[in-house]
Amino acid sequence: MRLMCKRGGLVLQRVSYVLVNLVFFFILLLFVFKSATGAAVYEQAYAKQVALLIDEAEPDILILIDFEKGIEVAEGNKKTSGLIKQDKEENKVIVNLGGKGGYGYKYFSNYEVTFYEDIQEKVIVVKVGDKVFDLEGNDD
Amino acid sequence: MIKGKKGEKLMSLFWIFMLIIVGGGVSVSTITVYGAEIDVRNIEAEILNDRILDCIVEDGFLVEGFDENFDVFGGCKINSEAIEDNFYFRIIFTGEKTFEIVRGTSFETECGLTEYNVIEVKYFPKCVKRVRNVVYVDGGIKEGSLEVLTASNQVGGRNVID
Repeated sequence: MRLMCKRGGLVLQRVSYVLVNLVFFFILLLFVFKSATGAAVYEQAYAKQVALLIDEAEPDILILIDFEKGIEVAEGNKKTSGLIKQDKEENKVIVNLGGKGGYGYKYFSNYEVTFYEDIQEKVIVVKVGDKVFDLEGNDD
Repeated sequence: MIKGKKGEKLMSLFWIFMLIIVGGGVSVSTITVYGAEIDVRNIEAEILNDRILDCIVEDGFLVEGFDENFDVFGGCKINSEAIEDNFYFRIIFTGEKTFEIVRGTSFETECGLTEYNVIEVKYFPKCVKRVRNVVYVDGGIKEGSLEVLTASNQVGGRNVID
């Protein structure tokens, strides 16, 4: 009886040791995997790219930016709309691909600027100036 | 028996210590790699410099009405609030008369310290200086020079949800 209890105790000890290790490494790998989906990095990259292009642009220009990777990352985070927003009060570009709140970056250009994502075409559309047509050729 | 128990306790402590080292190392590496800031301040300062120069100088000539009271924000379509926080520019015109226009957060000292790339400080702004020879009309055609110094220290950030 005493021997059986001792053996049972040893088995329990070994099993709990393995389980704790498995849980620990699972959590660690999950953390790395979540970081590696790159939402944070892509948010920053797109926000800065759009802001710099706005600052550099002459008026009455339409800019299309490849957004395929961003849409892919957002879909992975179950986010399908509102990926890019404009804060006109602060002159800020905000890109949110599933991260909390997204990443914001300011631009200093004072031209009339509007931008939005086009999920179908997988691009970000940036219009600088008052007299710009959209992708369908419609005037604002 | 006592030896075995001591050995087991030591192994447990060693195991916990190893988990902490491995876990901590992996976490720090991951955060460092994926949390790195993409530094575009130099490009921003260049773009601002180009914007100012292009709006003040046309084909080598100073635009009409350029003087110490020139409205750089209105004339060059630059948002004044955006500039006040994270940017700086200084325009020095040298001709028959000399004047300067300065706006934004004063990064002049920091720009001076990093001018010759002797020292580099991570949190100092990135500065760009350009000098152009210009021609202007003031009772005749005259020559002068225009120095434009721009600096950017904008660091973006996570957007706070209201």
